[in-house]
Amino acid sequence: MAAKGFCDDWKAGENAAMAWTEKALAAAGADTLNCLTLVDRQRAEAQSREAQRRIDAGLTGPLTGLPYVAEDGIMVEHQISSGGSRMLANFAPPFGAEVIRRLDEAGLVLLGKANMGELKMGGEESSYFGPVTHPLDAGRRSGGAAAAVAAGIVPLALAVDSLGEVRRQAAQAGVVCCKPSYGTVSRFGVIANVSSCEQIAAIAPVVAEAAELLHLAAGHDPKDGASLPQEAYTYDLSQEIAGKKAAVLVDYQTNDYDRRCLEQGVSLLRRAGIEPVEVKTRYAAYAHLALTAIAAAEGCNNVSRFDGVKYGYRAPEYKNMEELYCNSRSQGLGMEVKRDAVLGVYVLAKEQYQTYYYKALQVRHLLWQEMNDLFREYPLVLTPLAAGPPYAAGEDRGGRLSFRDRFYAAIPSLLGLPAVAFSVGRDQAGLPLPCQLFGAQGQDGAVFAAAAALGK
Amino acid sequence: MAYEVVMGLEVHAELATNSKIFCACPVGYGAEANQNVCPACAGMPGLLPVTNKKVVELAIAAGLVTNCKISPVTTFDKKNYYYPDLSNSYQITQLYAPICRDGYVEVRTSQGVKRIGIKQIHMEEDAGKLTHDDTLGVSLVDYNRCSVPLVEIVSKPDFRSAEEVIAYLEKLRSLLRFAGVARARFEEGSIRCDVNLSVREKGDPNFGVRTEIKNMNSLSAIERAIAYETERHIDAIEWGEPLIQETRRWDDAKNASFAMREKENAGDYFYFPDADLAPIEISSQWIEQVRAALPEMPDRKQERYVQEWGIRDKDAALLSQSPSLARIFEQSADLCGNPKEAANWLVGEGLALAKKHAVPIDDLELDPHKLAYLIRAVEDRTLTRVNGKKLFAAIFSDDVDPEAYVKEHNLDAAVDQGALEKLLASIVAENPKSVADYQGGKTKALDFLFGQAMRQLKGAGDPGEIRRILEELLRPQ
Repeated sequence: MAAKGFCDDWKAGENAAMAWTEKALAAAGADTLNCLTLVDRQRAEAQSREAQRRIDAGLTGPLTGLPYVAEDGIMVEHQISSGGSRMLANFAPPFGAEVIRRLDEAGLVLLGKANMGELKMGGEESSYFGPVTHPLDAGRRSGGAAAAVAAGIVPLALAVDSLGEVRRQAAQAGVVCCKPSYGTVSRFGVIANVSSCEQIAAIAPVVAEAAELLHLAAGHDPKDGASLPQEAYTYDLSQEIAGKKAAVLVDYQTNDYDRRCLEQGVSLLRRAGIEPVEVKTRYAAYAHLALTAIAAAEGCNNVSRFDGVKYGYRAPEYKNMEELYCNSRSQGLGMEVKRDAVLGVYVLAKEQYQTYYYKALQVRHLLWQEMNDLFREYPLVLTPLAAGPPYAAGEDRGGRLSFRDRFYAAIPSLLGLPAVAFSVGRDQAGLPLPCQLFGAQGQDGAVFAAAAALGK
Repeated sequence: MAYEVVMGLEVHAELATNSKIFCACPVGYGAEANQNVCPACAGMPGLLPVTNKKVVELAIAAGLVTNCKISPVTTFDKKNYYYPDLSNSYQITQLYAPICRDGYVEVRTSQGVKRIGIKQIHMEEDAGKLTHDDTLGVSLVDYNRCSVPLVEIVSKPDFRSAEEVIAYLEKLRSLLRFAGVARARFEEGSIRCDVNLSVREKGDPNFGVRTEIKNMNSLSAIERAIAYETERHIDAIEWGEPLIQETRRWDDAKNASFAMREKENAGDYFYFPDADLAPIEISSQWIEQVRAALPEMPDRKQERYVQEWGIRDKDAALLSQSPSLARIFEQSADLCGNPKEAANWLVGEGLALAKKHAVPIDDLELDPHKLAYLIRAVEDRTLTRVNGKKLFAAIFSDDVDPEAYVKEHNLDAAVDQGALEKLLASIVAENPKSVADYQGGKTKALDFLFGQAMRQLKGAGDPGEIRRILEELLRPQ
């Protein structure tokens, strides 16, 4: 039975797109979670009027007129797009992301920007605009996009799935995150961290709505060299799932919490008629390490353009060029970004390149082969997404915990695979237990359909 | 002690595309600062590089004309360093899988013909330009050149003299220009050359300590830099002073090289593959398409001029040195039907005038139709050779219409025979002393009368015919 999302509720009782946007604007105004960094009332109202015009003309899709938020790293023309960093706190780009253009065209209403870990390199405590409070537990942390949907401020959100943190945050907030295969949604206009891994994902209460959002967002873009040639994507969520096999990766049984996640996930699979089979892999345990080396290298390179010379933060005082660089970057970038930048230089240095960066590429290749062998027998793979409940306030300072949980989320990031994150039940405190299903590259529809079949 | 200098060259050439290598910005020499700039080449976040296909094709062409192997798969890498003229703080280049490898170029020097090995050719983007304004105390950056496509052509350490270096650079320039790969002009920086140089005792199988010299912007500067640096190395060796492997900047005004600051000698650029640019597959079919589209190369032209048209080897070499000159020559030869005469005029007059007016050979513009008219007129004797030179000069500097010019300046040799005889008879009548001198055996007197005639005719008339008539008139009656 298909799960019920917010979208129909959102529209219920009101018959005008303007009213839906007003509802979201009111909720955003009352936000106590710090999940939004910017609300653009003017843009949202103009878009909702345009959406209403289309609805009246009968030119509508299922999401026309619905408000959504985009993570702060997804740039909107002439709107401050800071990526959660002081470095870009006043940066309003002269161009916008392709994905925003597509959703504008589809008649959605962009309410504003969601808070995020600094430049995707930092964890829950790293945003220059402060951390996001968990929507279900005021003493805990969440991600801006996941929290905005979970708290009911908007029914939909776009987030950049870089190291898998948005999947974990969504599942632990009780909503879903659908990450399509690498190259599906254009990355044009998205502040880059791990270029070879990251992909725009959709967050919604249920898979059907996230998939619908991706349907509108995805498709070939010549402005993104890694964009796949396919022009458009549709996801058949009604395809037959029962009888399929799912590999349950026991590599991720490390403690009571992740075991419980897997148990609950397995029982959901069984209920949907999917056969869970416990599998131990050879390389899964190395995925997060390879991802860390690659992410540090690419992240370090991607943030090197923030130098205080052309735009963004410039230190008020410097005596020469070197000080201009050092002071601007020291003051403009947070600790976790600096740590990744130093790590990136370390793994790329001539002396260490073979030991770390090149080794990471080899691991990625071996894992790619192993996973593709696995997919031949098991089209679906189930893993937990965290070693414990959402981080308590201040607990992730320095990024230690988000680094720890990268362990679970790494494979789809590293290999560019489609994945869905969702909750499989509740822990003793009533907080969602996070799991993900993923599958072979290009099998986005089958993976999303399986999650939908689990009642998500 | 006999020493041997060993050199290898790194030549950067700007590719002759209309747009930049990873964005659609136009490429133009001499545009106003920061006019040819978009968010991508200005280093803004969220922009992704998309490879200009034309760049790949021109790089393949560069490889083909230098006898390289073209890689079936080629990839881009990022080279990281901070400098304000590098908008992204990294340069996209090729380290691990360059597009061309293992080629050679044949050069001719006073020592004969020699093959210079090409180690590799790779594609990369250029950086912008930083200008320091000392009066305002600021540095200004111009990103126009950011992401302009380049090929870097890396030679093997095969050079043993400055003469070989210059011959190679001239040859390389000519190949790149003929193939339409690059404008390759030192004066505008569209070709640049770094020299890696070391000195060793003759016969020593090991190389000496190597230095890299940068910042020479003409062939003559390169020649002087090599001479200076060689001398510096030999001095150091002879005095037992240590040489350091380093990059040195050539200062043309001071005629000396100086070590660059330590920072600029940083050894590690943290190279790694560019994840935003998928590997480029180059099929043999694509290579053949590029090969088929290549025009005739200068060596082949030279050979053809000699063999098919009977042009002297030296002239053929001169005429095939630049695509524009070769085009002017071939077209005027075809139009006038006399390649030898076309060669004589272009080498004798065209190149001399170019030298006199300091016009670079590559900028030579001459309308082949006008040249062909001139050559035919001289052949038909309707124009004397002397007046032909006048006409040539006028075409060279003012692109005049030859027919109108001849008429206007009364250069037509076909003066009416009766009028000519009448004029000459009157000159003879007006100069009885010269007539007497001539008849008294001073044959030089004829030259005076001839000069008088030429002055009055203002160059018209056939000089041979004038002389013949004068001799007739002066013959004792």
